[in-house]
Amino acid sequence: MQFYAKEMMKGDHKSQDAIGRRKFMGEASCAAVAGSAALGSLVNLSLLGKLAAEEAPAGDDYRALVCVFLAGGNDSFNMLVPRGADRYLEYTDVRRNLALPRNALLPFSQTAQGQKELGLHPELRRVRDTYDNGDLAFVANVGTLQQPVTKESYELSPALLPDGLFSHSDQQRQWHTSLPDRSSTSGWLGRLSGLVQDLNGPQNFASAISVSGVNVIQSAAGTLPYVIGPNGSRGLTDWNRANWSHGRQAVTNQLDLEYENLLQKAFIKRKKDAIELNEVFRTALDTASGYDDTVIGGGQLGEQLKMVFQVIKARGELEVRRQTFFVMLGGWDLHSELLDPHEALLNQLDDALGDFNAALKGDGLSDQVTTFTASDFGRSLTSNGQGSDHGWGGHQIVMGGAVNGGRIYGEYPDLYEDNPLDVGRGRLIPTTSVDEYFAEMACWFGVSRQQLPLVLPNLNRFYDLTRPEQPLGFMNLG
Amino acid sequence: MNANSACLWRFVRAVLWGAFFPVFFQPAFALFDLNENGMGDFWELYYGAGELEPDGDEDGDGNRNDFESLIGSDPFDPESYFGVNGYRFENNNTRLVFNFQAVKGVRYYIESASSLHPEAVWRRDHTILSNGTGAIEVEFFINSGFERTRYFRVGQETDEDQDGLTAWEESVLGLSDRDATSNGGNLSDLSWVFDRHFSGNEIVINGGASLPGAARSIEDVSRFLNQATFGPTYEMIQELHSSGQSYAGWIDEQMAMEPTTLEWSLASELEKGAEFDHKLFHRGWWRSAVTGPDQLRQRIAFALSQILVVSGQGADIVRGSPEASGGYYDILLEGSFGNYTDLLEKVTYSIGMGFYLGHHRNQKENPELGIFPDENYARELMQLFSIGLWELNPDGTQKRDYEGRPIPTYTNFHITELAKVMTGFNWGGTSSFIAYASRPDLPMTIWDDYHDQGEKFLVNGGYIPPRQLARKDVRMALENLVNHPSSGPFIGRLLIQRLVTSNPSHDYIRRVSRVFANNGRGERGDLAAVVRAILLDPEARGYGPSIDPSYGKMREPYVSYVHLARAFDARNEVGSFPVWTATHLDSLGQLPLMSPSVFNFYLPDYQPAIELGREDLFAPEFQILTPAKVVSWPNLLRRDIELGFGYLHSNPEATMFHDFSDELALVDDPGALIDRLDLMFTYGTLRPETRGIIVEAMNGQGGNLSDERKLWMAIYLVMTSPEYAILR
Repeated sequence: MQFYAKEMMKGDHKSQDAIGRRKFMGEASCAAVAGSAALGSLVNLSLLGKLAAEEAPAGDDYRALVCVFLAGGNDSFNMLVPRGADRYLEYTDVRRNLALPRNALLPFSQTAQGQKELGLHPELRRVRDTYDNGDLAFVANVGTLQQPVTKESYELSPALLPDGLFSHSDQQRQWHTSLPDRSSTSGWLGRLSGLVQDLNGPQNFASAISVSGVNVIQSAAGTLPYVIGPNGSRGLTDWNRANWSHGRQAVTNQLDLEYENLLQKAFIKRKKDAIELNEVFRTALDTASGYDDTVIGGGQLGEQLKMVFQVIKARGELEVRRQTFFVMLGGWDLHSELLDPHEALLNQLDDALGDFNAALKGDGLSDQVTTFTASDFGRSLTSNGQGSDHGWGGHQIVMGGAVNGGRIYGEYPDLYEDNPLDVGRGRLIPTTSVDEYFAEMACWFGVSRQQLPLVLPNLNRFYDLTRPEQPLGFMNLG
Repeated sequence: MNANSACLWRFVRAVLWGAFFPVFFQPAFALFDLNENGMGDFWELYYGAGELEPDGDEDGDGNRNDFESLIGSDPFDPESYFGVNGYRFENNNTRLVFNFQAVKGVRYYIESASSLHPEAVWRRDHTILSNGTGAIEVEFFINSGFERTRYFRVGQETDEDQDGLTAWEESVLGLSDRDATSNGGNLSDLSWVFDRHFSGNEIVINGGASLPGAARSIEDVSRFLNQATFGPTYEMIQELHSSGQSYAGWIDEQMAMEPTTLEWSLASELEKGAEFDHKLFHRGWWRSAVTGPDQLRQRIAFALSQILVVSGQGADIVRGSPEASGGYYDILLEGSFGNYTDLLEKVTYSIGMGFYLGHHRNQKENPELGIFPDENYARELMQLFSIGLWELNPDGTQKRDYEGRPIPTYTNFHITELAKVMTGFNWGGTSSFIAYASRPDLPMTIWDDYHDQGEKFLVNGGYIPPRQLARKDVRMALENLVNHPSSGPFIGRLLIQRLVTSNPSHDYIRRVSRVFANNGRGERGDLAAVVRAILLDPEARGYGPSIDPSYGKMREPYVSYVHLARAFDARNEVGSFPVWTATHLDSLGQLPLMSPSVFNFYLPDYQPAIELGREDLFAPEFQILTPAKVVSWPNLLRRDIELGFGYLHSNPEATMFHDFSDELALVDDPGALIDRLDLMFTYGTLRPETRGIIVEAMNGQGGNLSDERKLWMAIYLVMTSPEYAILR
């Protein structure tokens, strides 16, 4: 388990896992693969960790991926909107009372040749500026796919569609796992962390940090996120105070007992990890930044990103070179009323991303941190009165100094009703799979082409791994 | 007729010449098997077979001992078994004679079909109630209309009514295998036998042998009450134990009690000086949960609020209007022991749900405006409130298609159809669909002129004809869902997870979904029967905490927190419940009617595989046990133990103080104090090591702790122990 930091491996109960893992890796050449079956059907990624370490460039090569999950299904067809006269008409025709006025849309400074002329929701001013400055890109109409789908195969071969299409829980999970053809608890960021774990020193708990609860995306065999809140980690009251030393002793003794019941065992493990890691984590953050007066606006999303920023600044103390982060903003499931609440949410997103980007730039970290959005699904283009319903493909944002920004990647689809991608009520078949979207970032994180299928097992259904080009090209791999 | 799943079959292919018989078994069923040796206890008693090994074959008749226990045959008699001995043709092939081996008192069927195709129709030719043990012969006359090849099978009834007792067991108990509630009460037969046994009653079987009643320990009473309430008080445990009342009797008494409604609690809080604002709902909720004598109902309503989720996070009216949130919660309280379809109907018309999932002001399709009905409620009604995503067998496993893939219960088409049903709702107390009134206290009204009048196609082949009254459409759609075969196992499993164990066995789910399907009086969806079946099931009761290492559930932090208030009778001088709930979501991960999404605080399928060490186990509540909450909950607990319940800096007079008088009297005798806490919180499962740790901590700081500090430490350590955290 990755839950023990280096400092904590002296006690005997703590070192068992670490030793087990070490031994496991020592025997990795071939025989150990059989043993990995118990950990899950995906190949045990830690076996290849050494490989990644050797290939990685030397020096301060810190890199972080920050997933901003917009829970509930962002109506991204009102985020990135056609602005050219014909296409705008097509947009209002289908969206009717959900359409934004054309003159309110924010134009981009330039439109690449052959691309549709698009504009942004009026609240996304700083996103637009970041795009124009080349530090931000969009990926259009991306979604969960287990195979490329046409309208015909949608009707004829329902078995080839993602499980539980249009359902929140299933689609969120599949955005996390990138495995829409199976029920899995293994997330792609988790597999990614497993693959590069030797860059961080084995078992480093700080390689995956969630500021928004337990999640699947950062979980995989042997990897779990360390979950903190916007104020960091928490410990037990009075833990280090002499007048509660008897309490500390009692709790410690309780957590050292062995239990047969698996739930009791698991309970103890969670509590023990939490108490121990809090000490390590707090010390690291205090040493690195102390009081940090950086302001990141955007409400609770900004608070979460502020914590991400502080953790990144403590990367040296935490001894990590590859980190993933998970933050989340809910409230996007706007069935009953779209326009006003969507505006408020995008305003929050704009502030948070704008300030986060500025903070990273200020510390010279922008090239080393890539932030990307994900969401359950796009939404139906047609209205249900005041709102929109669950859809499929949607648009996402990628931001950072390493992003080939100022461009839209993937294909911006036609919007007219009953077009070849419309499977009903303007729910659009994605033209880019989540696998391609994620593969691009996995490459940047340091995964070689040969290792990509270990992170994204379905990738070869959409992308020829022998091709020299990157899947989409939005990351500058340097 | 569900004979296929309740019979054991022997197959015979009676070609008109030649002979051939393939044989196979149906899987075994649950038995009354308290010693868990794989053989039924009544059968062991009857034949004196308790010492036999289940996989042996004492009499060499080809039937293993555990199989003989299932069919009720004598394990020491080679003539007593179940099997086809042979068949022959007589009278110029005009007569076919079967010879098979039967056991006394059990029913046999002979059926025939023209092929062995899975879809083949089996015609029941004979039903025989065997009045003796040994070979039986049955004759058939073969007429010219008979096919050239016909397949016969002989079936022994094993559990026709699927109540968990075999046909043979029912015959020796004097019950009927054709009626799951043949004991004359409102419990299934297995639960009834179980309840009698664990209430200390001797059970006499035919032949004179008897099973002595189990002496019900006080610890077991506490364990039961920890499952069925917001946590027992010491007095409650004593009272149920000494009264000798059976668990079934206690449940009946609880169900008969008037609900301690939020309407009453809110009014009481207002009388005690509460403001009419968003905090009022929570004050009222605490009053009902802590003081309500109808504890079972309170507990079930809280469980239902986590299935039929509405939340103040997403619906301002639920957060802001105590009438809307209290009204919604009262629907759950009043419907806890009613019919599930009726409950869904009330939920559908509730203003809270109308706003939360958006069918309030949802109108029929308007092609001119390009508007379609909102699909939100329709989807979650199917996915979360009734049938789930996948077709289920009664035991909760997924049905599979011919390629082995799970089968979706509905497609997007069904959602758009059901969305049409959910059109035309507006505030109650209005004169039309477009009129406005702010009446959070009333159910919504449905208007036919804004309701989709077309026909609608529902799941499972359901159909709603055009031009019906809107109310009728809604009722039919809800009945269609509750009548779907998946609803019983789906809802049953969720309720079992809330009350008893995160990983119920397939047999447990099957027994509960059978009761969901039929309460014994032909009614489907009777929640009272379902709750009884869940709490009185052998898997819930047993002889105490199960030794199965995957058994049990993490207690919900919120239920434990209420337990603290109940255990020590937390009260302030005015008698109000001004609990400060603003931080609860952050520190406990729960707050009534404030779930982060319609998916509740945690998912039923959350799998902390890494920590559990097994990939096949679920532990929903662990989803909120983050590194932050695993310490913030003990911190909150400790503060409230020490400073008083719901301590408020801003208003210390309102703090509810604990009555520790009984416990303080025991501080000088730590063993007795810990016994008392152990009984109340951990039903006697506190380990000696844990007790030692507590005593040591009480003597800490050089033995200079005050009595109060000693007591606080003891309560804190009991309530944060793994023994308490996991209810098993």
